[in-house]
Amino acid sequence: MNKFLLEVKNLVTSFSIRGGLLAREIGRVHAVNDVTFSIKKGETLGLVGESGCGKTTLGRTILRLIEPSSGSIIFDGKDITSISREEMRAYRRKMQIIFQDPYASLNPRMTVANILSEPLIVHQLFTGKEERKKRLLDLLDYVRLPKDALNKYPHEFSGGQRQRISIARALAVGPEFIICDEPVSALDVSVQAQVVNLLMDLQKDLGLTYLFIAHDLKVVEYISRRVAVMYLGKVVEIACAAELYGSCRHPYTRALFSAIPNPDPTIKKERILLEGDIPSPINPPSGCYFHPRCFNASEQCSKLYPPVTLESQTHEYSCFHPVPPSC
Amino acid sequence: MVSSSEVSVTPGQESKSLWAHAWATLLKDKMAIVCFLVVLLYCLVALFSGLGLLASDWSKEVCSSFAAPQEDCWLGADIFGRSVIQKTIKGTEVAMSVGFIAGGISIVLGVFLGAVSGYFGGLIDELIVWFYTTVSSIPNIMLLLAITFIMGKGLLAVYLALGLTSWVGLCRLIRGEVIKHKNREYVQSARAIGCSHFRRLFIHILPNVLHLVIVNFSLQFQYAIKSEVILSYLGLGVQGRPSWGTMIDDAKLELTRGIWWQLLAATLAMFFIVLAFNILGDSLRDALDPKLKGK
Amino acid sequence: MQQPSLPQSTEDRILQVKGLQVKFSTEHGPVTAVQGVDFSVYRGKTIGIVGESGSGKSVSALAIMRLIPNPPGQVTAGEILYHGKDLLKASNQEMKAIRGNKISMIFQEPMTSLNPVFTIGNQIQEVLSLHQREFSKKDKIEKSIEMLKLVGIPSPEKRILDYPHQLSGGMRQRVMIAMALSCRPEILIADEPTTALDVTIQAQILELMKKLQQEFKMGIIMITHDLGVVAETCDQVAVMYCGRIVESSPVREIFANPIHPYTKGLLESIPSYDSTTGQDKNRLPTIEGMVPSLHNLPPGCNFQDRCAYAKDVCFGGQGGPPLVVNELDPRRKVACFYPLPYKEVAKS
Repeated sequence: MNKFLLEVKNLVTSFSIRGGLLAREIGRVHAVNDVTFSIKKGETLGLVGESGCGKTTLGRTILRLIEPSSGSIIFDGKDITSISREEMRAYRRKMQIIFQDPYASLNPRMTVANILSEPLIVHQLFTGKEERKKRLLDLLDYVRLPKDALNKYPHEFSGGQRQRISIARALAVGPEFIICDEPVSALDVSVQAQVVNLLMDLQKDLGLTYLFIAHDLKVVEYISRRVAVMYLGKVVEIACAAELYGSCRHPYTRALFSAIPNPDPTIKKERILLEGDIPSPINPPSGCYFHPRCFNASEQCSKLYPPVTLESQTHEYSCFHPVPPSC
Repeated sequence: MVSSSEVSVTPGQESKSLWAHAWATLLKDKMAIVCFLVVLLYCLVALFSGLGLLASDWSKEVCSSFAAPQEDCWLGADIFGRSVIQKTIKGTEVAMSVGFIAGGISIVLGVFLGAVSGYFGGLIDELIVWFYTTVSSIPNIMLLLAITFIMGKGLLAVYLALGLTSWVGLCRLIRGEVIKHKNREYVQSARAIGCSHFRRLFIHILPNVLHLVIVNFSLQFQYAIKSEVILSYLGLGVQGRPSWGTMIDDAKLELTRGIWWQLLAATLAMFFIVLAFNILGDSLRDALDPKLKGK
Repeated sequence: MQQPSLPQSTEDRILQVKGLQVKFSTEHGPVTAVQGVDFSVYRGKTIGIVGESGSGKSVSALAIMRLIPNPPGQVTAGEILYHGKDLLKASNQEMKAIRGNKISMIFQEPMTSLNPVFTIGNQIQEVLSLHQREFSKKDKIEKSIEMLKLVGIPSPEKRILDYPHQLSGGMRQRVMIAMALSCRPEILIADEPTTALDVTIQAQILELMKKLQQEFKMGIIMITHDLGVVAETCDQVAVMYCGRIVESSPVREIFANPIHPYTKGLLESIPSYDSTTGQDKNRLPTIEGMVPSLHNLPPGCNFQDRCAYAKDVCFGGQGGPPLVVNELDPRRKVACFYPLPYKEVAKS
């Protein structure tokens, strides 16, 4: 029995850029550029990064909502990278996704009952009328929504409640792995905490494994066991949450933590301000992608992409001039 | 203290789908209700006339040729002494049936082709776009003429000709909307659940796009009525039964003799139904536009 | 106990909002989006208005600029005193002379706040054309380049010819700031200026705003839901809930000793780092329940359904608790029948 539920190896997802008279391919943008990591059963891997880092594309590629260009995705020991659509459908029962926008992720013309029944209909589960009704009520219970929600439409609910409906939909087929793509970013602060708690409880009760994608480092740290930091399509550092937050080594990670405004006015920390903007993934810098903005960069950094350094068994990063440990 | 499971955002409201909400909004619009009744009236007139309950003896000679409006023929008589008002009523049949059937054909074609091309993209999209660009670049009149020439004159030809020339606008509209919706997260979710293409397109996306079809239908209807008139004017319209178009066609000679009643009757009949559909179409669009609702 | 002194002399006060009330008519009936809001803006200081959706924070800011869409919204009560003059009674002419000139606003979404069909240069020059008519065309171009340099945009002479879509989110926000400051306003209203930006860019923009505030001695109204941003940038904080201010304090005091249960709940629900590894943490403390709909506010205190400390009079029909000044520290105000215990916060 494989202890890794998901393994991603050298995954690349690229899109072609078309231009010219006949819309020929004039370039490729590597949204996900050679990413490797694994997630153990029951674990939560957090994935953070800013715009253009490829975290959302990575999430969707794992589910094959976007087709990978190369590399492999191994789920529970089976390579699902290029299996057929019919074979993939069986895996869709085991891997689900929750999206960021609570308003766009539910079909406005379907009742909650219909929305939750969709996955059951597609996979032909709980086919009996009574059985199905019970399953729907159980799902509402899991996400702490009342029974009368079944006949209502999405526009009658608040953002937090809609997110709960999305979670219930993801749980309908009894998945093992859920990709949470910025599930709380669009919610109010007090509601975020409720949904984070819900996700944590569900993980404990149902033995779920999560890939938690977010840009809010505080939330990611709270819910994840390990965290990977992405920049322009590559994972620049990956470590246990405590290691990352306590002793990160990559300059970008350090700058990221430094940039988070602290909800404590007494702490006046020295802010590392990065120069310039996040470059576009269409034309990444040569060598290490971060070197134009890096405060530790040298000549070497502009020529070669740094290889992976193992800081410990659970901590790796790609940098020629890492910062000394202590965030 | 209330638990975190309180649901209703708008209190004391029964659950309303977006359709029910639209219906309620429409009912509040008095103008829309009036127009709807006008449309209903025309439909009933057409129905009764078709069943022979109204204007069944339109072909009888009731007054002298070109008689002015008087007791036996309230809106005057045509060259054969037939009552103009009876002819107008009979003509409603043609108008309404053309509107619905031609409209229906164009909707089926437009929605299907638009949905398929928007959803699948790639080669299928290119082919369909090429096709409708070609169709729309041929002047409508020529296409109408060509089809009626092939099929021979008559009602069937009119239905087909109008249906086959008016679907392009709707096709473009639906294609654009489907492309927009295709990438929305609720469709991505459906994909993640494992829904087939068919399911995603017809069960998830199309209901969100249907409101446009309804609004578009009101436009199609008017186009059909007006076009039928033009066809009849060109001598290609229905034969053997009165239609507003043939009445207007006849009127072009009558006017030189100062006979205005056929023209007035047919024009007024057209005017009211087209106006009603116009206003109804506007109200429908306002009621059905989901952006004007909560979120 | 020695009374801490009042924050500012009234000479430094540029804007005073008193008893502001804004109502909206909706299809389910009228709704009071802002009820009895009081706050002041001082020269060179930032007041943060914090709240979640529906709290009325953005509406309050729009009211100052008289930008509430009417219909369906309307300012139904209150005064907005700018240098002693009530803006709500000012004529349209007077308001036009103030907007963009004396009081400027920047918004959350820089892409939709900038006109996509005009160049950056054009848009800054437009502000100057409206308020500094004596500038010649050449002057305006020079001034716009100067403003872009001030906000840290590299090669400003080239950038003035760019269109908004050619710039990144951070750059566009800088352009917005440049536009807002081109006439040296006394007050800058920033409505969630960094919410749509990446963390590292947000840090740059906040630093820029602080620097410019020092240089121009502007009063800033910072509207946000992010308590981290508040802690970094604000001097005074007003927390809003369901259209009312529930607590107003200087920034240190409000974080170290929140007196209103809602403020306390908000602060506790922010995940914070501590040394236990993420996944084994306990549940986050949350505020139970949801924000009530503005159509269906309970009688008594708006927060009663979610408050762990609510008692008898909170539920009662005497209306919501009034905003009262704390006897021990006149800089602090709270609207609560049973506020949490006050603690003096030491200055470091």
